[in-house]
Amino acid sequence: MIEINNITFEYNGLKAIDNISIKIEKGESIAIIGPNGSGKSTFLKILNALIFPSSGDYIFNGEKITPSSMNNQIFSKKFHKKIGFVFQNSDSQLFCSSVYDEIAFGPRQMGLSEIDVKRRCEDCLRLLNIEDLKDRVPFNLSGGEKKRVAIACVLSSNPEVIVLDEPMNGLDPRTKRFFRELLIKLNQSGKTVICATHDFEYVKDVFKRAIVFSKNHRIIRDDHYDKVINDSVFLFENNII
Amino acid sequence: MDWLFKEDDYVPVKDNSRYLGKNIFIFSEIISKIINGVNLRQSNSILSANPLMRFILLISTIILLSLSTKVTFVLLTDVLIVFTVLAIVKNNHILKAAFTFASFTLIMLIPSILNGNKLNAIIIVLKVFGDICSVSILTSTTPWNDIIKVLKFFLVPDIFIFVLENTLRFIYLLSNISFETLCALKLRSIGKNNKKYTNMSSIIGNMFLKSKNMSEEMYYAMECRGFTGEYEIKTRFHFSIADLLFATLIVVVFIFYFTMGR
Repeated sequence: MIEINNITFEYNGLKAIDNISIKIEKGESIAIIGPNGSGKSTFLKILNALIFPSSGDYIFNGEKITPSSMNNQIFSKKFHKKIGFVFQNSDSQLFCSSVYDEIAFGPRQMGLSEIDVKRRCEDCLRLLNIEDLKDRVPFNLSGGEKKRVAIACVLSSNPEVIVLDEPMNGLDPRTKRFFRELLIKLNQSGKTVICATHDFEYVKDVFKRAIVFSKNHRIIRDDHYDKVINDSVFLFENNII
Repeated sequence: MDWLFKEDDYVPVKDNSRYLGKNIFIFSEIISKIINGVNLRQSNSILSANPLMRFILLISTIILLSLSTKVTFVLLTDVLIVFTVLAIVKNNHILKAAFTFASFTLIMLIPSILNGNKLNAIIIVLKVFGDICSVSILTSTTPWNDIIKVLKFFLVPDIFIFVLENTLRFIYLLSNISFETLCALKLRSIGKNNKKYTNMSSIIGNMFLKSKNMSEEMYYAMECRGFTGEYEIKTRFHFSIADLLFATLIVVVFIFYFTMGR
Protein backbone atom coordinates (compact mmCIF):
# COMPACT_ATOMS: atom_id res chain seq x y z
CA MET A 1 0.00 0.00 0.00
CA ILE A 2 2.77 2.43 1.01
CA GLU A 3 6.28 2.09 -0.31
CA ILE A 4 9.08 4.40 0.72
CA ASN A 5 12.29 3.88 -1.22
CA ASN A 6 15.53 5.50 -0.02
CA ILE A 7 14.02 8.84 0.83
CA THR A 8 16.04 11.70 2.23
CA PHE A 9 14.62 15.03 3.30
CA GLU A 10 16.86 18.05 3.68
CA TYR A 11 15.97 21.51 4.91
CA ASN A 12 18.51 24.33 4.64
CA GLY A 13 21.27 21.76 4.20
CA LEU A 14 20.26 19.83 7.33
CA LYS A 15 18.99 16.26 7.01
CA ALA A 16 15.68 15.65 8.74
CA ILE A 17 15.39 12.16 7.22
CA ASP A 18 18.35 10.22 5.95
CA ASN A 19 17.89 7.48 3.37
CA ILE A 20 15.01 5.45 4.75
CA SER A 21 13.03 2.67 3.11
CA ILE A 22 9.78 1.19 4.43
CA LYS A 23 6.93 -0.94 3.11
CA ILE A 24 3.55 -0.71 4.80
CA GLU A 25 0.76 -3.15 3.96
CA LYS A 26 -2.94 -2.48 4.21
CA GLY A 27 -4.40 -3.04 7.69
CA GLU A 28 -1.11 -2.76 9.56
CA SER A 29 -0.81 -0.88 12.84
CA ILE A 30 2.57 0.75 13.19
CA ALA A 31 4.17 2.80 15.93
CA ILE A 32 6.78 5.32 14.87
CA ILE A 33 9.21 5.67 17.74
CA GLY A 34 12.27 7.86 18.24
CA PRO A 35 13.77 10.64 20.33
CA ASN A 36 12.83 14.27 19.78
CA GLY A 37 14.12 15.65 16.48
CA SER A 38 14.69 12.21 14.96
CA GLY A 39 12.43 12.92 11.97
CA LYS A 40 9.16 11.24 13.02
CA SER A 41 6.96 14.26 12.31
CA THR A 42 8.79 14.96 9.05
CA PHE A 43 8.16 11.37 8.01
CA LEU A 44 4.45 11.72 8.77
CA LYS A 45 4.31 14.95 6.77
CA ILE A 46 5.92 13.17 3.82
CA LEU A 47 3.34 10.36 4.13
CA ASN A 48 0.61 13.01 3.86
CA ALA A 49 2.34 14.75 0.95
CA LEU A 50 2.60 18.00 2.89
CA ILE A 51 6.29 18.01 2.03
CA PHE A 52 8.20 16.04 -0.54
CA PRO A 53 11.49 14.16 -0.15
CA SER A 54 14.69 15.71 -1.53
CA SER A 55 15.53 12.31 -3.02
CA GLY A 56 13.93 8.85 -3.18
CA ASP A 57 10.43 7.67 -4.03
CA TYR A 58 7.13 7.63 -2.19
CA ILE A 59 4.61 5.26 -3.74
CA PHE A 60 1.01 5.10 -2.50
CA ASN A 61 -1.29 2.40 -3.92
CA GLY A 62 1.11 1.93 -6.83
CA GLU A 63 1.22 5.63 -7.71
CA LYS A 64 4.22 7.84 -7.23
CA ILE A 65 3.56 10.84 -5.00
CA THR A 66 5.45 13.84 -6.34
CA PRO A 67 4.87 17.62 -6.37
CA SER A 68 3.68 17.37 -9.98
CA SER A 69 1.27 14.50 -9.30
CA MET A 70 -0.13 16.44 -6.32
CA ASN A 71 -0.64 19.46 -8.60
CA ASN A 72 -3.34 17.43 -10.29
CA GLN A 73 -6.35 18.51 -8.21
CA ILE A 74 -8.37 15.31 -8.74
CA PHE A 75 -5.42 13.07 -7.86
CA SER A 76 -4.55 15.20 -4.85
CA LYS A 77 -8.11 15.12 -3.46
CA LYS A 78 -8.36 11.37 -4.04
CA PHE A 79 -5.06 10.88 -2.21
CA HIS A 80 -6.07 13.07 0.74
CA LYS A 81 -9.39 11.21 0.94
CA LYS A 82 -7.51 7.94 1.41
CA ILE A 83 -5.08 9.15 4.05
CA GLY A 84 -6.19 11.11 7.10
CA PHE A 85 -3.81 13.03 9.35
CA VAL A 86 -4.40 13.91 12.99
CA PHE A 87 -2.05 16.79 13.83
CA GLN A 88 -0.09 16.91 17.07
CA ASN A 89 -1.64 20.28 17.82
CA SER A 90 -5.41 19.88 17.43
CA ASP A 91 -5.83 23.65 17.56
CA SER A 92 -4.35 23.90 14.07
CA GLN A 93 -6.75 21.36 12.69
CA LEU A 94 -10.03 22.93 13.72
CA PHE A 95 -11.33 25.95 11.84
CA CYS A 96 -15.12 25.66 11.54
CA SER A 97 -17.68 27.47 13.65
CA SER A 98 -19.16 24.41 15.36
CA VAL A 99 -18.08 20.86 16.17
CA TYR A 100 -20.85 19.48 13.92
CA ASP A 101 -19.71 21.61 10.94
CA GLU A 102 -16.15 20.54 11.62
CA ILE A 103 -17.07 16.86 11.38
CA ALA A 104 -19.40 17.46 8.41
CA PHE A 105 -16.66 19.30 6.47
CA GLY A 106 -15.26 16.19 4.74
CA PRO A 107 -18.53 14.34 3.98
CA ARG A 108 -20.13 17.54 2.59
CA GLN A 109 -17.22 17.99 0.20
CA MET A 110 -17.65 14.42 -0.95
CA GLY A 111 -21.08 15.41 -2.22
CA LEU A 112 -22.98 13.11 0.14
CA SER A 113 -26.65 13.89 0.77
CA GLU A 114 -27.36 15.86 3.95
CA ILE A 115 -28.99 12.70 5.43
CA ASP A 116 -25.77 10.72 4.90
CA VAL A 117 -23.69 13.62 6.22
CA LYS A 118 -25.86 13.71 9.36
CA ARG A 119 -25.56 9.93 9.79
CA ARG A 120 -21.77 10.08 9.52
CA CYS A 121 -21.53 13.02 11.91
CA GLU A 122 -23.76 11.40 14.50
CA ASP A 123 -21.84 8.11 14.26
CA CYS A 124 -18.54 9.94 14.74
CA LEU A 125 -19.91 12.01 17.62
CA ARG A 126 -21.10 8.79 19.29
CA LEU A 127 -17.86 6.89 18.56
CA LEU A 128 -15.74 9.66 20.05
CA ASN A 129 -18.21 10.23 22.89
CA ILE A 130 -18.65 13.92 22.12
CA GLU A 131 -22.36 14.10 21.35
CA ASP A 132 -22.86 16.88 23.89
CA LEU A 133 -20.23 19.03 22.16
CA LYS A 134 -22.09 19.01 18.84
CA ASP A 135 -23.04 22.69 18.87
CA ARG A 136 -20.01 24.03 20.73
CA VAL A 137 -17.33 26.23 19.15
CA PRO A 138 -14.16 24.10 18.73
CA PHE A 139 -11.98 26.98 19.89
CA ASN A 140 -13.35 26.86 23.44
CA LEU A 141 -12.98 23.12 24.04
CA SER A 142 -10.46 21.50 26.36
CA GLY A 143 -7.32 19.79 24.97
CA GLY A 144 -8.81 16.29 25.20
CA GLU A 145 -12.10 17.39 23.63
CA LYS A 146 -10.28 19.12 20.78
CA LYS A 147 -8.30 15.93 20.13
CA ARG A 148 -11.53 13.89 20.01
CA VAL A 149 -13.08 16.39 17.58
CA ALA A 150 -9.92 16.34 15.42
CA ILE A 151 -10.07 12.55 15.20
CA ALA A 152 -13.81 12.63 14.46
CA CYS A 153 -13.14 15.09 11.61
CA VAL A 154 -10.65 12.71 10.06
CA LEU A 155 -12.83 9.63 10.56
CA SER A 156 -15.92 11.23 8.99
CA SER A 157 -14.12 11.21 5.62
CA ASN A 158 -13.54 7.45 6.10
CA PRO A 159 -9.84 7.32 5.14
CA GLU A 160 -8.10 3.99 4.53
CA VAL A 161 -4.97 5.10 6.36
CA ILE A 162 -5.01 7.08 9.60
CA VAL A 163 -1.81 8.88 10.51
CA LEU A 164 -1.54 10.30 14.03
CA ASP A 165 1.22 12.54 15.36
CA GLU A 166 1.63 12.03 19.12
CA PRO A 167 -2.14 11.66 19.74
CA MET A 168 -1.74 11.06 23.50
CA ASN A 169 0.20 14.27 24.18
CA GLY A 170 -1.25 16.30 27.03
CA LEU A 171 -4.31 14.10 27.55
CA ASP A 172 -5.60 12.78 30.86
CA PRO A 173 -5.32 9.01 31.59
CA ARG A 174 -9.00 8.29 30.91
CA THR A 175 -8.85 9.95 27.48
CA LYS A 176 -5.64 8.07 26.72
CA ARG A 177 -7.33 4.77 27.59
CA PHE A 178 -10.27 5.79 25.40
CA PHE A 179 -7.96 6.49 22.44
CA ARG A 180 -6.18 3.17 22.95
CA GLU A 181 -9.50 1.32 22.62
CA LEU A 182 -10.44 3.46 19.62
CA LEU A 183 -7.17 2.77 17.77
CA ILE A 184 -7.60 -0.98 18.36
CA LYS A 185 -11.19 -0.78 17.08
CA LEU A 186 -10.18 1.18 13.98
CA ASN A 187 -7.37 -1.21 13.15
CA GLN A 188 -9.66 -4.21 13.62
CA SER A 189 -12.09 -2.63 11.17
CA GLY A 190 -9.36 -2.74 8.51
CA LYS A 191 -7.87 0.74 8.76
CA THR A 192 -4.12 1.12 8.50
CA VAL A 193 -2.93 2.98 11.58
CA ILE A 194 0.41 4.80 11.62
CA CYS A 195 1.16 6.64 14.82
CA ALA A 196 4.13 8.55 16.20
CA THR A 197 4.15 8.07 19.95
CA HIS A 198 6.16 8.37 23.14
CA ASP A 199 3.40 7.17 25.40
CA PHE A 200 4.09 3.43 25.58
CA GLU A 201 2.12 2.89 28.75
CA TYR A 202 -1.20 3.61 27.10
CA VAL A 203 -0.74 1.93 23.72
CA LYS A 204 -0.38 -1.67 24.81
CA ASP A 205 -1.77 -4.12 22.21
CA VAL A 206 -2.51 -1.30 19.74
CA PHE A 207 0.48 -1.81 17.45
CA LYS A 208 1.90 -4.92 15.78
CA ARG A 209 4.98 -3.27 14.33
CA ALA A 210 7.41 -0.61 15.52
CA ILE A 211 9.69 1.50 13.35
CA VAL A 212 12.44 3.17 15.35
CA PHE A 213 14.14 6.38 14.21
CA SER A 214 17.56 7.30 15.57
CA LYS A 215 18.84 10.75 16.41
CA ASN A 216 20.76 10.49 13.11
CA HIS A 217 17.38 10.55 11.29
CA ARG A 218 17.68 6.96 10.12
CA ILE A 219 15.63 3.85 10.78
CA ILE A 220 17.57 1.72 13.23
CA ARG A 221 14.98 -0.95 13.85
CA ASP A 222 11.85 -2.26 12.18
CA ASP A 223 10.45 -5.11 14.24
CA HIS A 224 7.47 -6.52 16.15
CA TYR A 225 6.19 -3.85 18.52
CA ASP A 226 6.34 -6.10 21.60
CA LYS A 227 9.93 -7.15 20.88
CA VAL A 228 11.04 -3.54 20.54
CA ILE A 229 9.16 -2.33 23.59
CA ASN A 230 10.52 -5.13 25.77
CA ASP A 231 14.11 -4.42 24.71
CA SER A 232 14.73 -1.84 27.40
CA VAL A 233 18.50 -1.73 26.80
CA PHE A 234 17.93 -0.79 23.15
CA LEU A 235 15.30 1.81 24.07
CA PHE A 236 17.50 3.33 26.77
CA GLU A 237 20.57 3.47 24.51
CA ASN A 238 18.56 5.29 21.88
CA ASN A 239 17.04 7.84 24.26
CA ILE A 240 13.51 6.49 23.91
CA ILE A 241 12.89 5.62 27.57
CA MET B 1 -21.52 2.87 11.56
CA ASP B 2 -21.17 0.38 8.69
CA TRP B 3 -19.81 3.11 6.37
CA LEU B 4 -16.63 3.30 8.49
CA PHE B 5 -15.82 -0.34 7.97
CA LYS B 6 -16.00 -0.39 4.18
CA GLU B 7 -14.16 1.60 1.55
CA ASP B 8 -15.93 4.54 -0.09
CA ASP B 9 -16.34 4.35 -3.83
CA TYR B 10 -15.45 7.99 -4.23
CA VAL B 11 -14.28 9.94 -7.27
CA PRO B 12 -13.57 13.60 -6.48
CA VAL B 13 -14.98 16.33 -8.68
CA LYS B 14 -12.82 19.15 -9.96
CA ASP B 15 -12.59 22.16 -7.69
CA ASN B 16 -10.10 24.98 -7.71
CA SER B 17 -8.15 24.96 -4.44
CA ARG B 18 -4.88 26.45 -5.65
CA TYR B 19 -5.42 29.40 -3.31
CA LEU B 20 -4.56 27.04 -0.45
CA GLY B 21 -1.21 26.09 -1.96
CA LYS B 22 -0.40 29.76 -2.59
CA ASN B 23 -1.28 30.80 0.97
CA ILE B 24 0.68 27.88 2.45
CA PHE B 25 3.67 28.96 0.36
CA ILE B 26 3.40 32.57 1.63
CA PHE B 27 3.35 31.49 5.28
CA SER B 28 6.20 29.00 4.82
CA GLU B 29 8.21 31.85 3.24
CA ILE B 30 7.59 34.11 6.27
CA ILE B 31 8.51 31.35 8.71
CA SER B 32 11.67 30.35 6.85
CA LYS B 33 12.77 34.00 6.53
CA ILE B 34 12.51 34.49 10.29
CA ILE B 35 14.22 31.16 11.03
CA ASN B 36 16.97 31.92 8.51
CA GLY B 37 17.45 35.31 10.14
CA VAL B 38 17.91 33.70 13.54
CA ASN B 39 20.37 31.17 12.10
CA LEU B 40 22.42 33.86 10.35
CA ARG B 41 24.73 34.48 13.28
CA GLN B 42 25.92 30.89 13.27
CA SER B 43 26.42 30.74 9.51
CA ASN B 44 29.20 33.29 8.97
CA SER B 45 31.85 34.66 11.31
CA ILE B 46 31.61 38.12 9.69
CA LEU B 47 27.89 38.16 10.39
CA SER B 48 28.48 37.50 14.08
CA ALA B 49 29.79 41.05 14.23
CA ASN B 50 28.10 43.82 16.13
CA PRO B 51 24.86 44.71 14.28
CA LEU B 52 25.31 48.28 15.45
CA MET B 53 28.28 48.71 13.08
CA ARG B 54 26.20 47.47 10.16
CA PHE B 55 23.40 49.81 11.16
CA ILE B 56 25.77 52.83 11.34
CA LEU B 57 27.26 51.85 7.97
CA LEU B 58 23.76 51.72 6.50
CA ILE B 59 22.65 55.07 7.92
CA SER B 60 25.88 56.87 7.00
CA THR B 61 25.86 55.40 3.47
CA ILE B 62 22.26 56.45 2.87
CA ILE B 63 22.79 59.98 4.27
CA LEU B 64 26.07 60.58 2.42
CA LEU B 65 24.69 59.16 -0.83
CA SER B 66 21.70 61.44 -0.65
CA LEU B 67 23.83 64.48 0.24
CA SER B 68 26.35 64.00 -2.53
CA THR B 69 25.95 65.44 -6.02
CA LYS B 70 29.20 64.02 -7.41
CA VAL B 71 28.96 61.00 -9.70
CA THR B 72 32.50 59.82 -8.76
CA PHE B 73 31.61 59.49 -5.08
CA VAL B 74 28.28 57.76 -5.78
CA LEU B 75 29.93 55.37 -8.25
CA LEU B 76 32.84 54.52 -5.91
CA THR B 77 30.47 53.96 -2.96
CA ASP B 78 28.34 51.66 -5.14
CA VAL B 79 31.44 49.67 -6.15
CA LEU B 80 32.43 49.38 -2.49
CA ILE B 81 28.92 48.20 -1.60
CA VAL B 82 28.93 45.62 -4.43
CA PHE B 83 32.25 44.21 -3.17
CA THR B 84 30.83 44.05 0.36
CA VAL B 85 27.77 42.18 -0.92
CA LEU B 86 29.92 39.72 -2.84
CA ALA B 87 32.17 39.19 0.19
CA ILE B 88 29.54 38.52 2.85
CA VAL B 89 26.41 37.21 1.15
CA LYS B 90 26.47 33.87 -0.66
CA ASN B 91 23.56 34.33 -3.07
CA ASN B 92 23.16 37.32 -5.34
CA HIS B 93 19.50 38.12 -4.61
CA ILE B 94 20.60 41.48 -3.15
CA LEU B 95 22.24 42.56 -6.41
CA LYS B 96 19.29 41.25 -8.43
CA ALA B 97 16.81 43.25 -6.33
CA ALA B 98 18.98 46.38 -6.51
CA PHE B 99 19.32 46.05 -10.31
CA THR B 100 15.54 45.65 -10.63
CA PHE B 101 14.79 48.78 -8.59
CA ALA B 102 17.54 50.76 -10.36
CA SER B 103 16.12 49.69 -13.74
CA PHE B 104 12.62 50.87 -12.77
CA THR B 105 14.08 54.19 -11.64
CA LEU B 106 15.92 54.50 -14.97
CA ILE B 107 12.67 53.85 -16.87
CA MET B 108 10.88 56.52 -14.83
CA LEU B 109 13.69 58.98 -15.55
CA ILE B 110 13.64 58.49 -19.34
CA PRO B 111 11.67 61.75 -19.95
CA SER B 112 14.22 63.63 -17.82
CA ILE B 113 17.12 62.04 -19.76
CA LEU B 114 15.46 63.00 -23.06
CA ASN B 115 15.30 66.59 -21.75
CA GLY B 116 19.05 66.58 -21.28
CA ASN B 117 19.43 65.80 -17.54
CA LYS B 118 21.62 62.78 -18.26
CA LEU B 119 24.12 63.16 -15.39
CA ASN B 120 21.46 63.80 -12.75
CA ALA B 121 19.51 60.78 -13.95
CA ILE B 122 22.60 58.57 -13.73
CA ILE B 123 23.34 59.84 -10.21
CA ILE B 124 19.78 59.12 -9.07
CA VAL B 125 19.86 55.59 -10.52
CA LEU B 126 23.23 54.90 -8.86
CA LYS B 127 21.93 56.29 -5.55
CA VAL B 128 18.89 54.02 -5.68
CA PHE B 129 21.14 51.05 -6.44
CA GLY B 130 23.45 51.89 -3.50
CA ASP B 131 20.60 52.49 -1.06
CA ILE B 132 18.78 49.26 -1.94
CA CYS B 133 22.03 47.27 -1.62
CA SER B 134 22.84 48.87 1.74
CA VAL B 135 19.40 48.17 3.21
CA SER B 136 19.48 44.61 1.85
CA ILE B 137 22.91 43.98 3.37
CA LEU B 138 21.52 44.87 6.78
CA THR B 139 18.25 42.95 6.46
CA SER B 140 19.77 39.81 4.98
CA THR B 141 22.75 39.62 7.32
CA THR B 142 21.20 40.69 10.59
CA PRO B 143 18.45 38.89 12.50
CA TRP B 144 15.38 41.10 13.00
CA ASN B 145 15.64 41.02 16.78
CA ASP B 146 19.23 42.34 16.57
CA ILE B 147 18.10 45.17 14.30
CA ILE B 148 15.40 46.04 16.83
CA LYS B 149 17.93 46.01 19.70
CA VAL B 150 20.16 48.42 17.78
CA LEU B 151 17.36 50.98 18.21
CA LYS B 152 18.39 51.24 21.87
CA PHE B 153 21.59 52.96 20.74
CA PHE B 154 19.40 55.66 19.20
CA LEU B 155 17.62 56.20 22.54
CA VAL B 156 14.37 54.53 21.47
CA PRO B 157 12.46 53.65 24.71
CA ASP B 158 12.91 50.06 25.96
CA ILE B 159 9.16 49.42 26.11
CA PHE B 160 8.88 50.32 22.41
CA ILE B 161 11.70 47.90 21.56
CA PHE B 162 9.97 45.26 23.70
CA VAL B 163 6.70 45.76 21.78
CA LEU B 164 8.53 45.49 18.44
CA GLU B 165 10.31 42.30 19.56
CA ASN B 166 7.06 40.71 20.64
CA THR B 167 5.33 41.76 17.44
CA LEU B 168 8.00 39.87 15.54
CA ARG B 169 7.65 36.85 17.86
CA PHE B 170 3.88 36.81 17.37
CA ILE B 171 4.23 37.13 13.59
CA TYR B 172 6.35 33.98 13.72
CA LEU B 173 4.07 32.07 16.11
CA LEU B 174 0.85 33.04 14.33
CA SER B 175 2.38 32.34 10.91
CA ASN B 176 3.25 28.88 12.16
CA ILE B 177 -0.31 28.27 13.35
CA SER B 178 -1.77 29.70 10.12
CA PHE B 179 0.57 27.47 8.12
CA GLU B 180 -0.56 24.37 10.02
CA THR B 181 -4.24 25.32 9.81
CA LEU B 182 -4.02 25.86 6.05
CA CYS B 183 -2.23 22.52 5.70
CA ALA B 184 -5.09 20.91 7.66
CA LEU B 185 -7.63 22.62 5.41
CA LYS B 186 -5.73 21.38 2.36
CA LEU B 187 -5.63 17.80 3.68
CA ARG B 188 -9.34 17.89 4.43
CA SER B 189 -10.27 19.48 1.09
CA ILE B 190 -11.15 16.20 -0.54
CA GLY B 191 -13.94 17.34 -2.81
CA LYS B 192 -15.88 20.39 -3.87
CA ASN B 193 -15.79 23.15 -1.29
CA ASN B 194 -18.63 25.62 -1.79
CA LYS B 195 -17.69 27.62 1.29
CA LYS B 196 -14.12 28.66 0.54
CA TYR B 197 -14.62 32.23 1.75
CA THR B 198 -16.42 31.05 4.91
CA ASN B 199 -13.54 28.70 5.71
CA MET B 200 -10.92 31.39 5.19
CA SER B 201 -12.85 33.89 7.32
CA SER B 202 -13.25 31.23 10.05
CA ILE B 203 -9.49 30.69 10.01
CA ILE B 204 -8.88 34.45 10.29
CA GLY B 205 -11.41 34.68 13.15
CA ASN B 206 -9.78 31.76 14.94
CA MET B 207 -6.37 33.35 14.51
CA PHE B 208 -7.65 36.55 16.06
CA LEU B 209 -9.02 34.66 19.08
CA LYS B 210 -5.82 32.65 19.40
CA SER B 211 -3.65 35.77 19.27
CA LYS B 212 -5.80 37.38 21.96
CA ASN B 213 -5.47 34.29 24.18
CA MET B 214 -1.75 34.01 23.55
CA SER B 215 -1.13 37.65 24.41
CA GLU B 216 -3.27 37.33 27.56
CA GLU B 217 -1.32 34.25 28.64
CA MET B 218 1.94 36.03 27.98
CA TYR B 219 0.81 38.99 30.06
CA TYR B 220 -0.14 36.68 32.95
CA ALA B 221 3.22 34.89 32.67
CA MET B 222 5.01 38.26 32.78
CA GLU B 223 3.02 39.33 35.83
CA CYS B 224 3.90 36.05 37.55
CA ARG B 225 7.56 36.81 36.87
CA GLY B 226 7.30 40.20 38.49
CA PHE B 227 6.61 42.49 35.52
CA THR B 228 5.50 45.91 36.72
CA GLY B 229 5.31 47.80 33.44
CA GLU B 230 8.98 48.74 33.32
CA TYR B 231 11.06 46.79 30.84
CA GLU B 232 14.79 47.19 30.65
CA ILE B 233 16.73 45.82 27.69
CA LYS B 234 20.41 45.09 28.14
CA THR B 235 22.35 45.04 24.91
CA ARG B 236 25.60 43.14 24.94
CA PHE B 237 27.37 44.28 21.81
CA HIS B 238 31.11 43.59 21.90
CA PHE B 239 33.69 44.89 19.48
CA SER B 240 35.33 42.09 17.47
CA ILE B 241 37.69 41.77 14.49
CA ALA B 242 34.66 41.47 12.18
CA ASP B 243 33.47 44.83 13.53
CA LEU B 244 36.77 46.33 12.45
CA LEU B 245 35.87 45.51 8.83
CA PHE B 246 32.58 47.40 9.07
CA ALA B 247 34.25 50.30 10.98
CA THR B 248 36.84 50.53 8.18
CA LEU B 249 34.06 50.63 5.60
CA ILE B 250 32.36 53.47 7.49
CA VAL B 251 35.64 55.42 7.59
CA VAL B 252 36.28 54.76 3.89
CA VAL B 253 32.79 55.99 2.94
CA PHE B 254 33.35 59.19 4.95
CA ILE B 255 36.83 59.72 3.37
CA PHE B 256 35.27 59.25 -0.09
CA TYR B 257 32.60 61.78 0.76
CA PHE B 258 34.89 64.49 2.15
CA THR B 259 37.50 64.09 -0.63
CA MET B 260 35.28 63.76 -3.69
CA GLY B 261 31.63 63.73 -2.67
CA ARG B 262 30.99 67.37 -1.81
